[in-house]
Amino acid sequence: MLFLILLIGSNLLAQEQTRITPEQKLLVRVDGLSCPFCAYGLEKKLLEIKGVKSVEISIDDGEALLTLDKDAEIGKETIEKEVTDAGFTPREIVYLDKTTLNEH
Amino acid sequence: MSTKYFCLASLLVWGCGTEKEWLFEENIIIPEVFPIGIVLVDNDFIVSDPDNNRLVRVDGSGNILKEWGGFQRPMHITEINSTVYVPEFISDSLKVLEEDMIKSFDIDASFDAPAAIDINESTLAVADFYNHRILLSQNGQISSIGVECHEDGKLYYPTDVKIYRDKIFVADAYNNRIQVFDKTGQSVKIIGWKEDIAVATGIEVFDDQVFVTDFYGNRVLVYDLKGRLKKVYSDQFDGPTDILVTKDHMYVANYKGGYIAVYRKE
Repeated sequence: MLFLILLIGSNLLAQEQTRITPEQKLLVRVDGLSCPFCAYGLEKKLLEIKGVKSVEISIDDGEALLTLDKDAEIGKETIEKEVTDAGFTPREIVYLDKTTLNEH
Repeated sequence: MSTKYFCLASLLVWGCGTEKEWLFEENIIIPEVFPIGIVLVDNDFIVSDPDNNRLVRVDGSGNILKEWGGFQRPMHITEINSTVYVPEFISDSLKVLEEDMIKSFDIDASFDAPAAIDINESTLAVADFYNHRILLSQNGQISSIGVECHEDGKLYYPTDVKIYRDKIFVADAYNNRIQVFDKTGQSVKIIGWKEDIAVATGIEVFDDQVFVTDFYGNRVLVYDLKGRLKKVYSDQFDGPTDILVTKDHMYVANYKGGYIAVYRKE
């Protein structure tokens, strides 16, 4: 009986996590992000990519966290081009799975 | 040398001590606001808060009296007769806040991330950040100043612009300088290239003095119109982005710190 309760509980928890983070997330680390004008500029260029729903920029960490449409397929080259066009050097692009996301 | 002659000599050289300085008065902390642009309207501040996509009206104690939301990253604003002109960085458009109403403000030009606007009589100037230029409208005629690069006459991510008399003063942010143009687009002066300005984010020209905010240097530098450095203030800033000067006061918007630093002329 206890086993059954735990099993149902863990299934419910897994379903809840899926509902909370249905979108894909992508973390972009850049060099040269140094002022709010840069941050909003990077946000603007990344938002112009089809499939990007929202962008959160951290100036201090030099990072942009992208939320993508559920079925969006965006290649690293596309991201790199927009980051470069925005005036920055792309350092790292990480597609976050749910496990990784929970760590952020 | 007698006192009389000493004072006469001082008057010639130093203005006999009449050149007043700005003294720090207070920091006006504005909760949950990260200001980029600042103007004064009827003794209150109106501040752009792009992190929260809004303009806010703030009193001298830092209380938010009113807010207008729905903007898309409003940046360096300007005010004429209580009407506030707003460049929107994300939507590539200009807006006006007039009598509590937000309206579109269209000119016959396109932008890529407008960062600042200034208006003086029939001349309007917009700092067009990603096009590395200043868009100028004179009696409805559109012209462009600058192209992307680092040489004199060229711009690299301009963030602010001011029209003063017959000149256009540009915060040429990532060329780390102020550049002055005439209205035909000719570069006539470079200011601040010797001072290692980290990022020249904001500019004000008042009473024949040029005030510059240095975002990463956490400084305000003051020059005369010939580009001679007069004074550097560096003790009260945390990511300064804009500066507003009146006859008696100097107000500096600090984006990182979330406050307005107030200096009084002494």
